Amino acid sequence: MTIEIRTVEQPSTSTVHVSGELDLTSAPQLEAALIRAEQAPVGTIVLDLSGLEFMDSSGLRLVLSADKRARESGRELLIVPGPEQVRRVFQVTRVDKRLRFAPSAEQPSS
Amino acid sequence: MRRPEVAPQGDPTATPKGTRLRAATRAVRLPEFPLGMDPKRWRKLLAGLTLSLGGAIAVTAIVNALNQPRPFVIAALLFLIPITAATYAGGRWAGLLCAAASFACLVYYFAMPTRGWAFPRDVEDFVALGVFLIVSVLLSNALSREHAARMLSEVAQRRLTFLAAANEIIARSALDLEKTLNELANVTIPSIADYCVVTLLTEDRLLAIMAVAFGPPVRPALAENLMHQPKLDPAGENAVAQVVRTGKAMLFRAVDDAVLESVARSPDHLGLLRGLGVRSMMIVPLPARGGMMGAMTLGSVRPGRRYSEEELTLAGDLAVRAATALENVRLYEERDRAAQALQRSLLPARLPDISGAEVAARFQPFTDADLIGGDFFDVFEVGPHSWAFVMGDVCGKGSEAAAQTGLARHTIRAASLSTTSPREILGLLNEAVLRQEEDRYVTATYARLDLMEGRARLVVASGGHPSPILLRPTGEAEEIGRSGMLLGVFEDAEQTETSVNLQPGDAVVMYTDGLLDERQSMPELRLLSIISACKGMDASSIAEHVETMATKADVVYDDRAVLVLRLLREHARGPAR
Repeated sequence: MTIEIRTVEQPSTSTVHVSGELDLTSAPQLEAALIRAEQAPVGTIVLDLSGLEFMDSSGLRLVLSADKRARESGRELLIVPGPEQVRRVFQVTRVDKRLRFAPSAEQPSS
Repeated sequence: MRRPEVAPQGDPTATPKGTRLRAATRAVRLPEFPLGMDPKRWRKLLAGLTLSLGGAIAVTAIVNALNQPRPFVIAALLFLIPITAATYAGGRWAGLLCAAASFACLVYYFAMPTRGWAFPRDVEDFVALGVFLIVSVLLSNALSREHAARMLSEVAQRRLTFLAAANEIIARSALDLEKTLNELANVTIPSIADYCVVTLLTEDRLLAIMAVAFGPPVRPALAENLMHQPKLDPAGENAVAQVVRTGKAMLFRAVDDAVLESVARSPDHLGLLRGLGVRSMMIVPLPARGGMMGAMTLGSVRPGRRYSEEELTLAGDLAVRAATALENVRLYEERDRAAQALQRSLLPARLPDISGAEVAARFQPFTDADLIGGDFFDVFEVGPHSWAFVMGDVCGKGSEAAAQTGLARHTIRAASLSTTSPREILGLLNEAVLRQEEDRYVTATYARLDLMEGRARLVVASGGHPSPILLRPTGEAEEIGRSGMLLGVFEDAEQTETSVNLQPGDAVVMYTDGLLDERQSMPELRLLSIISACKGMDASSIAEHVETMATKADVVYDDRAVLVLRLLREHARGPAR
């Protein structure tokens, strides 16, 4: 597959690191990993997209769905946005205004 | 039995002219001789017979030369050797012949001389000869049974090899009906047939010849003509029609003129079949779910060739396997058609004529029917001199995305009835998408063109979608406005509206993100330069150029849609109607 997913669980935070290409074929895998991570009793889930080379609208949809689930359950989803192309998807669609980005990561320039 | 003049599986360049065998694609090896008929069978029998007589005589000569005190016993034991050898080589009859010859030699050369040529004289002789006879017959019988079993398993092995290889060849032409049919016909040659005709029930419920394959003994000109035979009524008396109707295979061991008449579709066809010189023929049905989809006719033109029941079974097995592949092809094609119909329903049937402007669109859907795309565009009239141009994309793919695409397109049309503001129309679409139970998001650009006396204005709003690009006649290209938020995510999605005045010769290019090569950096800049190079072109040339230039990669990851509006120069001279 075009994607690699690694989940690191800590007492209060679960971090899902993803690398490769996030598109229609690989999105379901990441979705499953995120839903697994959400089962853990943690307040914050970090979705680390910094290893991504590519993300398309399927990936965007996945991120937005995860964000919606997080809001509904009072959890926090933090995004580490990754390379220019991935940020661009957030910028063009203007969803960067809604998503919360990890403080350690550089904020996407607008 | 005549061997094929040229082995069709050989060097592709050596493939005889006229055969439809695609030798180059044959990595899988098929047995070449007619299956069920071992080409060495006669040679083996001959060897066995020679061995049986020669062996018996040789043993006699050797034992006589040895000059032993008890030649009878030694000879009797030694005779068992040629009996074994002959049975192994030539089977049951060779073994029995050898036993008989050995017995005769034993009596004449070893039993009678010791008794002074008066034989038989006592019980001992009878017992000795009887024991030899029983042992030798039992031996040759047991050995021949083993021999026959071995031959049978060899035939079975060849059949399995053939079916597996044929299956592999047919499966490789997956999802292409014509190719699958041709491969099916081809694999039968020359292993089980010299010519093969595949007939299928077509959409008009008639039986049409879909594929013909033939080997070297058949004259290409004759076989090619088979392709052009008239369609057949499946309710008729023709043998092929009967096979398709009943699902029962037919075997014509020896073909005479009456058989040809029962198979012929026309007098011309009958003449063709006579010209082919068919000696033996079989017709097997191609099963489908809930009936038959067609039949496969196999014929041999070799003198003395007679199809056996086993070969009929083999052809039937092949047909069943091929039918599965064909059924898959059909299902796939059907699904593909349904997907295309759905996709078409998401796009305008035709673009409207706008006086003073020209409109062109290019749409290249994602190649896989599974992934029917979420791209849509629309052009429609919203007022006496106003037109709406819409380009959008639903995140995700598949039939659910397609349903969402339909919702988006129709919502935009409906919203255009209540307001003329692009910003408000996108706001209404945002609400409609938010109300969906499913998490679906839509990006869209909505542009309204107002053609007024002597001037034209374009009002644009984009929700999460790349902004339209304005191309001036000078080649200057720029984005119109700035994209607002993705639709269907925020309750309070703020959309902005940008208005530009268009001059004659100006073109506006709207597109979906499939056109941006996402895998490279700064794709917008590249697209701008491609569009800039389109100065002076008419709308359809711009659309074509942008689509082909922007997507040089062979792999299409997404749908690609381009919509181009261009103001004609004539517009400047007079007011729009």
